[in-house]
Amino acid sequence: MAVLVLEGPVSRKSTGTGALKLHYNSSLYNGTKLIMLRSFDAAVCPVDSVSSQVYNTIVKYLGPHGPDALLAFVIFAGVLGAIVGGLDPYLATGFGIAIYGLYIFRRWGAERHAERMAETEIAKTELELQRYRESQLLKIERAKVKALSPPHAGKGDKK
Amino acid sequence: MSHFSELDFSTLVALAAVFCALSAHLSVKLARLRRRTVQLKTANDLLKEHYTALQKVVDHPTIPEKYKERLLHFSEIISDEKAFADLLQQVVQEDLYRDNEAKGYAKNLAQLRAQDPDLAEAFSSAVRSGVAAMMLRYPSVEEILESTMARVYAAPRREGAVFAGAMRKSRSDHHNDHDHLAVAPA
Repeated sequence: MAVLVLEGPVSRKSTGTGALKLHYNSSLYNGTKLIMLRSFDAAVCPVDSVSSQVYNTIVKYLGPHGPDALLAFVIFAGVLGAIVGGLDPYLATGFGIAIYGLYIFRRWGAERHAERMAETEIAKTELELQRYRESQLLKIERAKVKALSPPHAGKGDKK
Repeated sequence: MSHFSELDFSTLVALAAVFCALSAHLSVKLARLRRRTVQLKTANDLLKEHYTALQKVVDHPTIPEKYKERLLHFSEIISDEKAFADLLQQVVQEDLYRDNEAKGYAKNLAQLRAQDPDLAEAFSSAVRSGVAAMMLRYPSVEEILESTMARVYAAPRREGAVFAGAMRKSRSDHHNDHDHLAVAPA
């Protein structure tokens, strides 16, 4: 695999074939080169494959419930196919429901976790903000009290 | 194939219906969870923006104390869920932007802009980002948002109205201790 060290402004585009087309512009070289990258580089800059592009197009078309609806459709078609193929209908349906249930269970866990994490993050920011606000308000109040108190307050009466 | 021909069609339809209903129900719940996560993440980003802008204003060496205090009280008010929901209702229902406080806000902001545009922008940003963050933060204000809150930012003067409402609430909370902080009308 060729390793090319690039210096200067580089933009990358997916060629759809797993390789990256780098548009390299510099004062020395101005052109387009198709190069193969090391696997590490490819992992850092993953390129969308055709199948993932198709998947994303379908999911996007299906709207907000895209991934779930697609999976439900695939499972439903699979269950029907299994029944037509001679598998016991109840077994096939049970199997479909089990797969879908497992998927939902895992997705549910992941989504709940993401929500909880987001909630924790915002709670942290809120706490930080609250501390800052309270300390600043306290400073202001102290300054006010100081300004209101007479110049010799606190020294006590001299007899 | 034999199983399929033996299967009662109504059973198949019933199974399909149950499966579809279950999948639709769970899918809606999942979508709601995803939506809430996005809302919270956006709210967090906006809250950080509010915090940064607030710090910029409060830590500024030349800003008058009353501006600092009012902005801190504003931040305090909008951080309380119930107070914020009441405030939004008030802003939507009343013409608060005709209030003297709102006019004073606009006037003071214009004065500040003339003196220090960056500082004025930070002040305005603290108000805007704070309100936007709390709109996404609290699920209880969702109804107000969906129905009428679009109007709040359609009219630029509503920003002053939110501020005026918060100041009014702050004063009533502090039993008129802060009367001296009221903004002189234009």
